[in-house]
Amino acid sequence: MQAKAKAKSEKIDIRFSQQEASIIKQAASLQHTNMSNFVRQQAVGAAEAVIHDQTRFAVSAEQWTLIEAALQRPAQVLPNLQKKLATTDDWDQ
Amino acid sequence: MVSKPVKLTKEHDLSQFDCGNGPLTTWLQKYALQNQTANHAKTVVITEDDSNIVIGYYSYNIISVEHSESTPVRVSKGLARHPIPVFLVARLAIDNKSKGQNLGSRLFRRALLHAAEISDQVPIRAIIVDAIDDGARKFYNRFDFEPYPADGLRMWLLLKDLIKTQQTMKLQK
Repeated sequence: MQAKAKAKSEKIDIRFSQQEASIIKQAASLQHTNMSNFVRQQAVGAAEAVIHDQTRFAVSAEQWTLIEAALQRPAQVLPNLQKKLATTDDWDQ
Repeated sequence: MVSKPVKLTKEHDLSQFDCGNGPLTTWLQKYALQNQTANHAKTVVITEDDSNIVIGYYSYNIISVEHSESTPVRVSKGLARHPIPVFLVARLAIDNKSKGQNLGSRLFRRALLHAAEISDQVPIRAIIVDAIDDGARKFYNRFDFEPYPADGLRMWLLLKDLIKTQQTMKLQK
């Protein structure tokens, strides 16, 4: 069987000062990887953290209407949730 | 035995944690404490009794859901659509070595009770979770979470339903 098709990728050129590049090189070698891998992993990790830690979310008018409708309807008792909450747990002591 | 869930501190050992999901593992090890100190997302952890080695965690934050057109003009015209505060459980993960012991479910149950408790002081209207795959969707389904209208990868539970469900249980006791 043929190997998996290579995922599409995008090349990003980033310019670093000599000093920055040398620090990155040193850090990459400490983690037994190359500069490119190091920069990529660090950048993706930091980007994911930023996205995850976003605290304001804008929604469209249509979505807002759906959310508002749910917030306006009367409260319901949820049977599966009730089962889960009713379990006894040492942690509740 | 597993310890009662507590707030993450710098005394906790995160180095051995591996939940099999790279970003969830990395976030705990690199960003969780830093975020908590900066008053962003807070993290609650469980450890094996008598040890400080973390085997599971959830992180939460209070976020606000806002109408994309809530511009100052609208506000000045009295058409403000007030932001909706929500309890977001952005991450929930259990270490590979501790899986299959129902810890994820117990921990999430605690997260819900936690949300219900703070809703006394913070006017949260719902709980939102990230359902990253089918497994996660099934997991949250068992707590009666439903698809969140504004994001296909998220699910939500209305706080009023949680409170009403809790009250019904108290009445039955």
